[in-house]
Amino acid sequence: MSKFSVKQLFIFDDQQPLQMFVTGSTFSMIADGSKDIRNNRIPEAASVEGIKFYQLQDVINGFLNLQQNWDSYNANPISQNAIEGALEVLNQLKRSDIFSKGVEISVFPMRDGGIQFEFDANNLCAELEINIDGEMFYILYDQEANIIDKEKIYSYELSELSNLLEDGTYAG
Amino acid sequence: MVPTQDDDYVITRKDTLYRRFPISDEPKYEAFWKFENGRKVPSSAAFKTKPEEDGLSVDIAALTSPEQTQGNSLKFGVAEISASTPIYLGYQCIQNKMLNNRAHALILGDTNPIAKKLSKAIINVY
Repeated sequence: MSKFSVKQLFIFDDQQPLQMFVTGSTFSMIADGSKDIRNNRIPEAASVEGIKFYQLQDVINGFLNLQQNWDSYNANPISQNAIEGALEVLNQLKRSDIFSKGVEISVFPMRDGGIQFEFDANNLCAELEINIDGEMFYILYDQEANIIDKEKIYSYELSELSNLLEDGTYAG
Repeated sequence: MVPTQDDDYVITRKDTLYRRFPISDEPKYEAFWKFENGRKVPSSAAFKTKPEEDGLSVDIAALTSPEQTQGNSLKFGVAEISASTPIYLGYQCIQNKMLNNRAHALILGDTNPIAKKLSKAIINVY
């Protein structure tokens, strides 16, 4: 007999990766409110893009665990503003469907307490820095890793991020 | 750490430099590195100075070993870069001896503008 009850298996909380609990049939029933067990729609969370989203979300939340000097060079703990900003960016990336557009997305803690997204694709190398106050800066690089554009992005402009990424191709 | 008095090693373009970076991931789901060309490399974030810092801490490879720079191998990796990269970009690299680390050096100044270049210039990862 399994040590988990059915109820325990389907408790979603912030501390555990959601994708571990999701299967096609069960989640689609919950999401749709459908009683039809033959519902074969592939749920968002079970897609590659959905899994990537939840992985990044988990990584960002994990930054809360970083203590002073986490890099051994006296890096600062990650600020709450930066974490909230990063989660906002992540949600926007999901809304914009960036995950399915061939852009490799990574997220890293910054030594000053901020958070950095990195976007890599065949013709794209860009970063989005979120500082300790939650301010965001988009940085576009050329093929030689020279900065060719750096601009501040306000949270109400985040919907433009997908356009910036789609426009951001290597100079020359 | 407190700097010692005498600075007697001159870093040239022929030198290589070590920079430590965290590698622990699970179970805390902290991420500090990514795979690039099949290698586990640190983010450019590892090469960005904080606002109050005079420069980026590194170790002079000629005066130490990757293992010494690494310290705890379960928690840290070491990236090796050529000193020629920051020097070519106009950054001064100076020895900055510490009481417990003669190999300690600084890439002087704000390294944020060249952090991406430094991360792309990694020669070896230990």
